[in-house]
Amino acid sequence: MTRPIPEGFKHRLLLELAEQIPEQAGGHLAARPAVLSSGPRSPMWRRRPFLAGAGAVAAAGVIAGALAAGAASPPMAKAHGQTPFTTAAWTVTTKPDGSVVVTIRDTRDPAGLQAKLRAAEVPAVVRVASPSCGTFGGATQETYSALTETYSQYLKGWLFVVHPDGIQPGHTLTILIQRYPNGQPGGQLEVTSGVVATSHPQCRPDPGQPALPAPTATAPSDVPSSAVPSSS
Amino acid sequence: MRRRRPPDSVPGPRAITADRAAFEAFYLAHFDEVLGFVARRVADAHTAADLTAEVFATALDAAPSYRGEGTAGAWLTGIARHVVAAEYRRASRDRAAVQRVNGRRLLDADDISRLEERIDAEREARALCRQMQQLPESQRAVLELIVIDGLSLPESAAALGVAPVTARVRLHRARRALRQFPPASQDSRSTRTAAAPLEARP
Repeated sequence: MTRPIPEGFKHRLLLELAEQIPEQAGGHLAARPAVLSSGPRSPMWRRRPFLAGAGAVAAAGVIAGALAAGAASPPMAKAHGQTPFTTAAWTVTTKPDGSVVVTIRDTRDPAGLQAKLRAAEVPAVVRVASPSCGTFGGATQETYSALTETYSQYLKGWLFVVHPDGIQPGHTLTILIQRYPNGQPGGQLEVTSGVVATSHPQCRPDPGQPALPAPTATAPSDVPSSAVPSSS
Repeated sequence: MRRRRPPDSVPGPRAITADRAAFEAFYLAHFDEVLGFVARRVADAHTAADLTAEVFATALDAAPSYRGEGTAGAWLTGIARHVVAAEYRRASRDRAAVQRVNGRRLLDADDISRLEERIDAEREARALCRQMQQLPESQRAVLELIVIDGLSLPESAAALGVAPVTARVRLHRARRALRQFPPASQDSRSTRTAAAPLEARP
């Protein structure tokens, strides 16, 4: 017997409940001394719990934004006061508080994503992993204040909330996308992200990872970087 | 650098308050069973929406104290049982004062229509529940979970917080008692449905 599922209610309730998680998640972060004690306690670092909470709140809205951009109707996006720029592979949305919400669902068109992030005043370099590009090197602790991310089972992709004011001048947000394992189309989408202390980060082979074959799913910018409503 | 991969499986209750992705995976994995549990017990779409919301809100509150006994589904069923029982005990006007997430506010016309279809599909189960009202609470609870919700005996025991042997004894007594009661429902289909699944899954 087919029992229709009220999808609209299901997802609206998910968003509503997700709003309740941040304060409890803050408690969780406080209970992770191994993470909090690593590295020097810079002023930026001490701000992290607050920013993580703020990011969590934003990320609850993130799913809303992503739903608006990727799965719902344009009027819903307008109702959230957002202007999503989408391709089938990613979305970039600037929120009223200045944070930038990024969804990544595919490895296509990294150049378009990079351009859109820069247009949103995020100094970013986006690459798809390849045999010659496996890491941008060590990330700074700004990574924790400037970036929160979560995987959405519903969207089948990654949701990032970027706080541009958490990135120091001259530093760069790096995003490396690949299908794992082996860059094949059916593999899991893996995203490596971090803020590095240079304005011109160089991607190089990652000695800690097995060499990747030439990626087959990473091609070419076959989706224009202009605003194209997503169909999925 | 932070390398991120999607979670491999549905996370357990203890993970859901720490990670939004974990909660989302947990919620999507269990939404149907929670809504089904509620729809088998209430006949109003708005109430069903409120109670479904309340079950997950309560789960978020209770998750830190989850001790890993039984499956996550049985744990959630135990919460759903308490939420629905509380609904029976209080007037709906009181519910509005205590609920944390107002489920009905999230409904649009399409949702209500689909929820009503779902509720209609569960009408036989609700008739069965009414028939079981004559049983003592402890017996009725285990029989409901097994016959109405399709839980196994160990899952039912976990949801009720009792030992499996206790659940088995209660089930035995409930079956014996139920056979002595005249059917409460006039719906003959319900009576037939009631007779068939009285055996628990192992």
